[in-house]
Amino acid sequence: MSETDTVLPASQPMTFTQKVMSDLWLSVLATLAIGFSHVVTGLYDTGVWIGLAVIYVIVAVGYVLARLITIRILPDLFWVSIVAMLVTWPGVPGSSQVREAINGVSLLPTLTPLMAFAALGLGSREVQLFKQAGWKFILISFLVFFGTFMGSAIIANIALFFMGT
Amino acid sequence: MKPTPTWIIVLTVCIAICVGQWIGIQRIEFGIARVILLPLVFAFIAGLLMNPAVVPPLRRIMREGAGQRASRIVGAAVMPVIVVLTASIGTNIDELVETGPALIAQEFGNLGTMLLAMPAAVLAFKMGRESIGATFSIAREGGLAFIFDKYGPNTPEATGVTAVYICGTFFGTALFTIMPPFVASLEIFDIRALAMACGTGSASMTGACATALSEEVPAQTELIGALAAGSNLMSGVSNLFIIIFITVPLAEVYYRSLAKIRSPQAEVSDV
Repeated sequence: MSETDTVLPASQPMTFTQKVMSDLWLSVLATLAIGFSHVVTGLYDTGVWIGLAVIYVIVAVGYVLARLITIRILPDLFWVSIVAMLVTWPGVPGSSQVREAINGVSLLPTLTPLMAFAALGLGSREVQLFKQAGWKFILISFLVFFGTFMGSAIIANIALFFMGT
Repeated sequence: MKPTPTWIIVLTVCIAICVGQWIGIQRIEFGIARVILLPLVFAFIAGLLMNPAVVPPLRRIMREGAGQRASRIVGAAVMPVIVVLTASIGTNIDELVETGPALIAQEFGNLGTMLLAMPAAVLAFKMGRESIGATFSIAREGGLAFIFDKYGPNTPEATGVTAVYICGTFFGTALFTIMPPFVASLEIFDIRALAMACGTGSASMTGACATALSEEVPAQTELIGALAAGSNLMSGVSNLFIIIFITVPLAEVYYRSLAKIRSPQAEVSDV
């Protein structure tokens, strides 16, 4: 869902360092919220915080890479994914320790803050647009999401069947 | 007007997180099928109820601008989700390579979007060329940008894609937590096929979908995460090309033939 800044006004251009610092600061807030989310669920052993620290470093390296490579065709997510894959790849020095640390973090409490921020992030313009879109578009979008999921699932299932795996 | 202090935003988010996590995972049985509601759905609803854009009286506490800052943190909060998911790719690479052809084939499953939704838009709701923008894909950032570029911002196609984009922003992720375990509980599909279908090119939808599936089949959590992350990564790279070269040209043809069914005599004027 909304992994973009939705209605940000065109702000004055930031320097490289400012951009990276701003990304890193937002990541700190996000990471703390994810930690809090674990604590609320009753998961508060040190493993969670070690895992989050490791994840934070991976995200930070990904961000810096994304900012260094100035041809912005691929989103930040791509670079973060690449870094995450590299440092957890079997055979890469330290990868098993990194994997173990990341395993201390559960996906479920990690998603909750994301959606809390997303809900708060909806501006009045989006709320207005949603009201204008009307029930027809709402029903259509249900079909759109259902169609995407089922389309992929059906093709994948048929392919797996013929591959006999 | 003074901008909202950051601590108010953080406090609000913490309350929403508490609401979500305390309600926890809810399972609802429907005879043969099952619906699972994850905490993130409740946190989202709680967040909406504390959003001044949704509940206007709250503007006294939270001024405009709070939303903008919160939505910038969304971009940062999605990164840990993607790290957790992609961290399982390496150890499951054999399985990913083995299912590779299926993984590539299902990227074209996006065409199912149009197949299902376009007839409803054209025949049932009598929509015009808005249908093309609304149903060609799940209308995430790449698709939105392409439609605006190809048709221009003040066209019916742009209206269609914007409407579905906004609807997706409101409940896309929630749908992707409810739908997958429901389909899985029917026990028709291979769990690996459903895990691959989770990868839409949207990280939060992929994460939500993989988590919800893992709740249904806990023993396969690692594999589900790896397949979903692999498929999502592939979508991120391939989606735009599929949209440009296959989906949108096909949507044009499909729209025209559906419009002819709707009114066989009249020439479709706006083609």
